[in-house]
Amino acid sequence: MHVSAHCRLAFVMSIVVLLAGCTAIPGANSTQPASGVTVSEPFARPSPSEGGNGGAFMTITSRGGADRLVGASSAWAQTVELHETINDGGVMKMRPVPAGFEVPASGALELKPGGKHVMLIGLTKPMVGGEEIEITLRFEKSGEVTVKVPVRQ
Amino acid sequence: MVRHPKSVALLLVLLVLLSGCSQYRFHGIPYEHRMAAPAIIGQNHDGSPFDLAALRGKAVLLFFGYTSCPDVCPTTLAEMRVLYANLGERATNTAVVFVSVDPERDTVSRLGEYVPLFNPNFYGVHVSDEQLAPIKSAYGVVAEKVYYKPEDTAAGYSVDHTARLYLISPASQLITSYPYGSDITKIQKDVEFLLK
Repeated sequence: MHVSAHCRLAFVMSIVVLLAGCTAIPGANSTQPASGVTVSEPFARPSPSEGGNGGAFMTITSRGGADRLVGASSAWAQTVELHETINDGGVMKMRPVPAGFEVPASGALELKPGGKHVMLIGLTKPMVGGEEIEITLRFEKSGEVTVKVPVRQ
Repeated sequence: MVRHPKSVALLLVLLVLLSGCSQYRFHGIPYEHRMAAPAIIGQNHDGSPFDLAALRGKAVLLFFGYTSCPDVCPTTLAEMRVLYANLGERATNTAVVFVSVDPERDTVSRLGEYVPLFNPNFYGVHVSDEQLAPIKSAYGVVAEKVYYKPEDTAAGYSVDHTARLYLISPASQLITSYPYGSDITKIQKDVEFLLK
């Protein structure tokens, strides 16, 4: 009786471990998640002041249908938002876009300097060139995707 | 009659020479009427006084921005870093000047953390709000604080700003200005022409 209880426990535990291994994939694996979106060429600009702001840029493509980038978070900032800079006759205007950005079904969402970007507000650590930060992107359909973002000077 | 073809030839030679002398075309949007670069006096990121006039003798690349700007400003500075490196020895006769249009947040010490990260030789200039207004109008810089709705963002405010890069000659003349995203190899050519 004693032995079989142990066996059962071991069996249950191994299943738990296996399941944990499966569910961990979407969040943990950076650029090729099991979800329908792929993130390529991520980078951020340096911003050395704690409490300052930083921007992260990347290309997001959907392998399935259309999706929507609706939010993001990171240990590097108190708040992470989606912003867009618009060039209005030479005046660069940056605005928060709480509704997020669409990832088209057969196309790419391009986040680039002077355009749409992931905005890190209230940096908790300086972002220095050569380092790598981690940002978790939240998609309407694909869920969360964590991306490693190198800081480029 | 013999002299005629000769004078035609002379005229041709002169024309060729003159066309060679024709003015170099600067990139960006060159100033049609050259004017002296308007004065900028403030404090550099290391706490020392800054005076644009003291950079006479150097080619100056001047940019107005703010350190909380996540995309346009650090991108321009990152590009200046590359351009400065590509200039090689000529870099010693080139100055890159970043003037903050957000003196409230961009204290001297904050500029000191930010600007040298791109290149320790770059100037990061703090100018008080009062002194900034005439500088902005003299350069045609638009920079306005825009306060966001608190429910939309935690960013507080951003600064809508023109993102032009100005080129000033060693004789302190405003030569041209480049829109954001201009090809830095063209800017480099202009700088090298000025330093010939």
